[in-house]
Amino acid sequence: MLFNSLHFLVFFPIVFFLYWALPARLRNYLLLLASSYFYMAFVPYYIVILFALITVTYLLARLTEKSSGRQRLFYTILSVSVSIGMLFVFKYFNFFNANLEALSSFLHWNYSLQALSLVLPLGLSFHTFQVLSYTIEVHKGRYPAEKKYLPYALYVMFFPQLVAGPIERPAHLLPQLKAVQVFDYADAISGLQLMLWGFFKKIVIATPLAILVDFVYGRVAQADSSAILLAVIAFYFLLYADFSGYTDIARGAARMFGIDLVQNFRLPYFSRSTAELWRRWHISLSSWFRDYVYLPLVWNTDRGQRLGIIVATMSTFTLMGVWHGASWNYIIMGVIFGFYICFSMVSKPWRDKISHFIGLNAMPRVMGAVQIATTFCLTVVAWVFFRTADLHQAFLVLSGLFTKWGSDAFSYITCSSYCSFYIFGISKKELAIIAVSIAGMIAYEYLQDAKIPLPAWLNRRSLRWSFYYIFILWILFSGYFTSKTFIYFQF
Amino acid sequence: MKTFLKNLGLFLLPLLALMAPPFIVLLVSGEFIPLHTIEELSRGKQTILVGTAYNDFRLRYQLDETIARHPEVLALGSSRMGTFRAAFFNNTSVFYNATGGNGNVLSGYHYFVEELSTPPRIIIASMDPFMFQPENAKNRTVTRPNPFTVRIKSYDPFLESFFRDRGWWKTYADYFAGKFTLDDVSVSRTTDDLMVIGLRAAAYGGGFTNDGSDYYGTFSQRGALSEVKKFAATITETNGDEFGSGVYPEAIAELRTFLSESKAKGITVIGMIPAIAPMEYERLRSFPHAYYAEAFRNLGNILTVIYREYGFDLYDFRDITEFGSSDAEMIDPKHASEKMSMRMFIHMAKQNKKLGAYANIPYLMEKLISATSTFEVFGLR
Repeated sequence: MLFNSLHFLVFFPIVFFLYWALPARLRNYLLLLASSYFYMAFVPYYIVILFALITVTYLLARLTEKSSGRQRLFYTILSVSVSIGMLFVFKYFNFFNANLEALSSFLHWNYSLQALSLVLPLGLSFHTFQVLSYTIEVHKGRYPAEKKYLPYALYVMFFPQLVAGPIERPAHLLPQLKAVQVFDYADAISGLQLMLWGFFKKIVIATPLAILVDFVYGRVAQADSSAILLAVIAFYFLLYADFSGYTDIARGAARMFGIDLVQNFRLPYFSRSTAELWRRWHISLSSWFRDYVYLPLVWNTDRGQRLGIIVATMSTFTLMGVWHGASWNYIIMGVIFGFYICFSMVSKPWRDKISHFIGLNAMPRVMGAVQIATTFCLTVVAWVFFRTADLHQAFLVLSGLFTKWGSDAFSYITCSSYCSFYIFGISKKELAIIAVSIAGMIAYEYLQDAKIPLPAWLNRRSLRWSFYYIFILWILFSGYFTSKTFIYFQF
Repeated sequence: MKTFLKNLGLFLLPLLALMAPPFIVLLVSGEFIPLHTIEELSRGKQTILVGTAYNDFRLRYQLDETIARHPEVLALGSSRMGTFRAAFFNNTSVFYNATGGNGNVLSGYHYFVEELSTPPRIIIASMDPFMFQPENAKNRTVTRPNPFTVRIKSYDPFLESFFRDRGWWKTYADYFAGKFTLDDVSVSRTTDDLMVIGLRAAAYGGGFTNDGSDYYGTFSQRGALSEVKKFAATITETNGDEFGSGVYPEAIAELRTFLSESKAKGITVIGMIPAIAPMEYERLRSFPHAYYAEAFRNLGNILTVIYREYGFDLYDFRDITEFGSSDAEMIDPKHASEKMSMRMFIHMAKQNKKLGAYANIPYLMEKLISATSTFEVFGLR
């Protein structure tokens, strides 16, 4: 079930009202039932796989807690193997098999294994990582294994974050699921606001931008550099609006049940370095990799020395690329981000010298702007590998960015709206609406992050409601209402 | 919780009040009817007229229908072939009109054919000049891969009609502009023989019917001739409308792919350059030194040579007066009426034996001569 569907518009209020109408002891049963229904709206029989994963990891966590030494390690490894194994079969087997076949053919070996014809269960990477987090926390003794099946099943299946995160940790989500929730007016209102904000990002920004991006990426050979440039920049905004929009809806929906989900984005456009970007972008994933891959690697390779950090960084980001999908594009995207961070670390002394030499470090605001712009450009380049279907297309886009600056570049600015439609798939008016909406999105989120309090007179109900009505009308008039799925559902 | 519900109710009340009237209008007029229901109805015995006002599902619909019906003769192309009817054929079930949705050789005629497990025997394909105009066509390049497998996966009639393109708001705008009345919606045009679906069909009888062809309803009676005249006057030495500075090579390449793939599948392609309103045609000829003059003169020859290479015929109907028609038979400046389409069809059926085998030409001639309407011969049956 898509958040941006009529189905969800009916489903969610029913679950919400039933949840608060039911006695507290029955609410989690309702949430599990609703989550199962939500998940089954995609591919019904995959619910069996999800419950199998939940049941096996639940039992193994119980066994892990009761045992010690090698036995404890055995149960943990078994649980991790089951989780990763499931992910491998569904998501990576065919990729691994195809590459092994290509390598065998190159080395003249005789290797042939039938490719699997399986549909990837939605959100498998997300709930697998949530399960892994639980398994590791129990193994480390940082969180006790759940005695009851229901809260744990809900921890994995809670429908707002079931298919695209944020990836929760047991210490944050499980106690909330076990607590008796009391209806809180402020939470319900802020949950609704957050959901509305998420719908705005998806419907007004992400969906029309997807038309533009798909249009240009679909005809890279014909598009000139200016169109490609606009499309690659648009993709960054699209990806953010789509994924953070989903997260906002998820967090808002959860908040209406009294559950707080972790923040997944914090103004990534204001990052001054790639390392900072990943502290602001998909925070639940990057912090997962930091805690369970990067830090153990750093301390187990070179005890925090530079080489150890470089190896750990490259390995972590390569794995993050792999997490995104079974394709060389994602792997290269991860490698590029890893390279950015390592290069930034290695080059810091001479970059500092250059800024000192040209006097940039004496102008912190200018310095900040340069850093933000540089990080933005580097990120845009890396996202090319995220968007393109294969490496050939990625290189076509990257070369097209620099080699096709004809005399009529930017002609779409002066041409008629009709012509813009045939360059970008949307009209100039629509482009202007998106640009205004993006500016509004960044400004609002900046103000929210800076926690600048609103003047008291703005808090009057009549003004607030008027603002909400205008905002809703803006969504209704400028939004693209299609059944287009969220990008991160594929992971 | 009570305060929350009360405030939420109060907040939503104006929004619901705003949305309710268009919702009711669109619901009653049948705009929310699911696509599969329309598909089932179109294959039934009852005549349907589907004219939705605020959504466009024709690309998906026509492909579904063509796949389900296995027509022996298929019309493919722009809306200018929209009035080619199954009634032109001896057996009406042999023909399906899939024009309008996939209206351009560049948007993938060959992709459409690739989707068909049972290919038709004959395809009548429109070769409109705009498809080959470089200034226009270079920006319309087909999006690969196959647009039919990536663009039209899902269709939610409520979402598409009510929210997409602001259908709820346009309902208000069109109502206050007098484009429909509440009587149009409340007094159904549906009878035992005819089922009317959609606001456009309810308001003025426009839409498509079981064979996929278009009806213009009362729209065609709104001074089409004066519109044609006005439009012809807009053509100047620097504005050839859809004739450009040459013939776009990529469009030709797409055409070749379509023709060669069709030939390989045993399909006979009959190409036709659709009719131009005679007033417009004369106006175009009156500027022999215009930048578009060469394309205007040569397009027919260029396409004929290509068609012959594959053993197919191309018919150039731009000068429709040669076939006994006139401006009066135009629905609007761009679209031929059923009567004009029938003239084109009869000519092609006479010339092309394979197509001719499906039609009773003397009968069609007789119907054409005896038709009293300016636009229609058979009408909506």
